[in-house]
Amino acid sequence: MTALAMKEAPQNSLQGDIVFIVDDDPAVRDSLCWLVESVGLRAQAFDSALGFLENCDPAQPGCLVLDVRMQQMSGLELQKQLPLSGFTLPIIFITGHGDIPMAVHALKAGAFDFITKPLNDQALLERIQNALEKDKQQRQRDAKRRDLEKRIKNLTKREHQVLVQVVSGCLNKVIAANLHLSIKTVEVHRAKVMEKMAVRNVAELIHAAILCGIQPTGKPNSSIA
Amino acid sequence: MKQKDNNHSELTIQARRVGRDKASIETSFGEFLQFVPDAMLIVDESGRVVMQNHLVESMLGYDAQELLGQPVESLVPRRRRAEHAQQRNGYMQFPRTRAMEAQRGLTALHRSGREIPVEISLSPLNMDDGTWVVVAMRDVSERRRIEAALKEAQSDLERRVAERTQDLQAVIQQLRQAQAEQKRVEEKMRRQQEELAHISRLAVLGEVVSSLTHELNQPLAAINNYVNGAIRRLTKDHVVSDDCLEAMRRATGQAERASHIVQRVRQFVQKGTLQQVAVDLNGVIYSAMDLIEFELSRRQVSVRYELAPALPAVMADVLQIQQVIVNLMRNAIEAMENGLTDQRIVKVSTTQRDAQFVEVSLSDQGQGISIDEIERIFTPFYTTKPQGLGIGLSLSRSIIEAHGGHLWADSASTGSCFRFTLCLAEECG
Repeated sequence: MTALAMKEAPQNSLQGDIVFIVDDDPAVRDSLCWLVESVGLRAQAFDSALGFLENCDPAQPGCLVLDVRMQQMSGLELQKQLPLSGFTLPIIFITGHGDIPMAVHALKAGAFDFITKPLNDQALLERIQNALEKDKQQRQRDAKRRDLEKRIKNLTKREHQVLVQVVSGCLNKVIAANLHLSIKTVEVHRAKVMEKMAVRNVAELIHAAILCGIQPTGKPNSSIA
Repeated sequence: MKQKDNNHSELTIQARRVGRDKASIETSFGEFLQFVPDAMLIVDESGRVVMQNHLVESMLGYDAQELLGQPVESLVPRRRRAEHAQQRNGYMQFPRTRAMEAQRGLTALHRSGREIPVEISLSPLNMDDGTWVVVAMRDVSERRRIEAALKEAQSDLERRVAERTQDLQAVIQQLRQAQAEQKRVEEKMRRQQEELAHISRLAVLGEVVSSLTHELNQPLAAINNYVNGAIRRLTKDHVVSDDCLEAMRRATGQAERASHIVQRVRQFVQKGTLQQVAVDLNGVIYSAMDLIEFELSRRQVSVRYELAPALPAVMADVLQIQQVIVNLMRNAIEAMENGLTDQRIVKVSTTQRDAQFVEVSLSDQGQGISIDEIERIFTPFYTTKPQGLGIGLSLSRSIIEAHGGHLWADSASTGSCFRFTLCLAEECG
């Protein structure tokens, strides 16, 4: 069924997204693939949590549709295992019991959502779309952060010092005093930082620095007496 | 004594027959008296002593012949002399051989004034000058002393018997109380067993329905997915008539309806919501063991506790966790049924696994579980017991998972080991 769906050119598929389905009931598993593929999404099914963990790449974007009740490793346990194996996929739980405590447990542990049986196909497909969107945003944010982190690493020691001072809200004059540099030199470093970080203005620079975890010094106006 | 008295009388009669003179008879009778083993004296009609043997003298402290001619009353204590004289006259009216009677025991007066308890028998002796009386006396002070001692011993015995009886009654009373107490305990246990059985039946029913719901919901969900997936494709491609699409929508509607019906039945028999409270897990274990104490003793199974002291409280529905422990214990007991008595031990331990979970393990010395069975045993309706429904472990796992914990089995070289985890109360909060 999966193969059949893959042959059809996905029309509104998010680029490269895969909906992973983990369910130990063959009919449910297969029919979920069939349903997911009917809206042009790619689906890949596994009969166990271990099967998923062993065969999937955390870099693959998508989302995970998980049955709570499974032999061997339950959905909740797989949820616990995923971050340890580097997965960040949003999880939609399918619970046959509608157990509130179990659902609460799953949500507390960071599940994207849960859907109770009997399944409403419309609701499930919408949640899957939302989950894929979330994964996409998450991955974009991650990629951006990784890019910025790389850029920060390319800064010289001096440039990095200037960046921290800028993020702390210091004026060039103050930075120059703090770092024992001339204002002119500070201006040169600052322009270099903007260039290397690929930002257009100070607001973008501060946003990027915070995204990478650079903390302001907390004494923006301090100057050496 | 009576025989002897008769002999005296006969002797007299024979003496008279042979026609000896009175004096000679008296002399030989006097000699004869000396050989009689009792103290003996003879008094005449007026009550004077006419003859006595030396035993009288030695018994009452008189010199030889000193008593001769004395009134017999001189040997009677003063306070009874008048009475005695009267009685003596009375005897003379109807003389016959008999024992002398007295209400408070006879005593003879010793010359020293001391009274000696005696037994006296009287026999009339017909003489020419009237009736003489042969008085035979026996010192019974020794006998009285023994009697008194006997009486004392007897009353002592009686007192002790009474004491013992009292002790015994106290013991009997205690036994009765113990019996009543045991009966109360048994009654309580029986009620708990019934309660447990009732809860078990409900839980089993709940689990059966829950499992059935799951089993039915799976194909129903698959039907829905297939048909909905088909509808979406067909709608997109415009290859079928609206009639066909409508029929397919109705088909999914019916599958959903079936699913809802099953769901409703499940809600109807559901075991209710969890009554979770912060509890001491070790205490819950002990109370669960109380519930199956009878089974443990009947099957000669002992429990070895290795419970962690100062275990933090866990969040649990006590009745349901008891249910799980009882289920696991019953499995363990049954698994060891064919084993040796001294190996029928279930080891129960608790440990704090990490900052979030407490772990309970129950291991037995039974036949164990094979590797390929280790997961199947948790499948609903899977059983290895001829009478089993195959729901116990499945139910137990549902209960533990509803608590946010996990229940699994370890394979071991000997016996099997079941473990489950429960959340710490402060973590679940």
